[in-house]
Amino acid sequence: MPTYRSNKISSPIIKISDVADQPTIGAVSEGTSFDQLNIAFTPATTGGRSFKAVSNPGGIVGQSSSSPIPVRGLIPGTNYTFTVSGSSGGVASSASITNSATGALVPIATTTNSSIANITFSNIPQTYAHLMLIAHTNTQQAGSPADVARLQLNGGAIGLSSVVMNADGASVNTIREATTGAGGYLGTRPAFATNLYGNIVSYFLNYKNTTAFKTVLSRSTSDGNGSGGTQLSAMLWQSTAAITSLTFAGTGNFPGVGTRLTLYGIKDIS
Amino acid sequence: MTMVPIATRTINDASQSVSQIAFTAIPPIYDHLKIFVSARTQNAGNFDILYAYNYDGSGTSTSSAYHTTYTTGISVGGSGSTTNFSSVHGWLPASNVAANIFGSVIIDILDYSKTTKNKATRSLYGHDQNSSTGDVLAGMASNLPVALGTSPITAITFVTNAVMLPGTRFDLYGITASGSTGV
Repeated sequence: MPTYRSNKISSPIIKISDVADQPTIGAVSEGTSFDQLNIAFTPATTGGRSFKAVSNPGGIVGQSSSSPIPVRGLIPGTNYTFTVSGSSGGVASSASITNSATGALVPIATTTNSSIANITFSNIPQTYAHLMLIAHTNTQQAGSPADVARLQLNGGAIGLSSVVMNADGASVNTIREATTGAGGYLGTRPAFATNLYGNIVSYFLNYKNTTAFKTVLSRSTSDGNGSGGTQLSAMLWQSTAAITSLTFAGTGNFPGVGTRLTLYGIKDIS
Repeated sequence: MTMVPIATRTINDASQSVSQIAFTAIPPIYDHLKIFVSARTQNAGNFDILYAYNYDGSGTSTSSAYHTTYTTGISVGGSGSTTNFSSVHGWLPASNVAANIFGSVIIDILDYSKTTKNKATRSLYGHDQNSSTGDVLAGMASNLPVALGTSPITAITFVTNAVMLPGTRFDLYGITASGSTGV
């Protein structure tokens, strides 16, 4: 009776993942949490497994099967370099990007040097707890008087009323405005003078709440060596809608040079 | 400058309504503190006062000094005390104010953990109710928690005369002076 001998046949192992999982790292962007950054990447064409991003310093790891990879636990204000690699033995990307976790105060948008009457921040993300607007501006034309900077919300000036405390260096007085359609009283822009600008800082607390009217606090300051003053105002917007856009409006255009308005989002602990 | 959220306290429904909101075990790792308050209370009348106990975590009050200047929409005024029972951070809308109106208070406490300084606080506060009767308010206040002395601030207990209503929120932030983010 014939006998048979079993033989093992060896074949070379092809490690596909070494090539397929190698990603190309992309941009680093702000995350939804104060301690989070998102690391974008592009997988190799034949990839498709999971990927991880690792921070340096800290060695903090985020994982995802698709771009971007969220990395949480970062220390705000710290600069990080990230590397991205495939999970199944792939070769780490050699690219790296340095960025810093932003913390709670995040610039959403900045407008500068616009010779227009109204500056609008639209499509405001609904991912923050509060908003803060910082404006550095004056009036446009030589000879222009000081004017009142007005607030419009969600495309309209209707439904905004204000109470204002005003100090002009000689006296203190008060202004009360009903919902006349003029818009909220953000503060005073100083009269035009070369290199003279005023500051207006406004707070929109709980801006995305849909059960409460919105109260906006604003303070403005300017001094023109003989003119100017400071104001504190509280504005009421009689709407329970979330604030999705805001407009900073003046009587005349903003100056073409020197104006700077920045809208910030303020994150909470979540 | 970098802001870091330390804690948030919210009142989401009537069952959570309280007249005291506390932040405890505040880490001493920041340079300054900032607090955002959006609140209203069930106090009788037009206003309630947002106090803070003496910042030592005891949950009781002893002595504080304050100054404030304000407008009612009709006139401006001021008040102050050297022996107030608590710090005064602002006035909030209460029962007589139309529904859905909340007051805003923004509080800054500089060098809160330093042990060689008395602590000073600054508040901006206000709300408007589209009224012609003068029961609107905007102002600012400063406080010196006398009883605290030069001890570091480790806890803050905010107090109102009546319970705070749903929609109220307090957010506590730490601020670091280093770094380049922000203003």
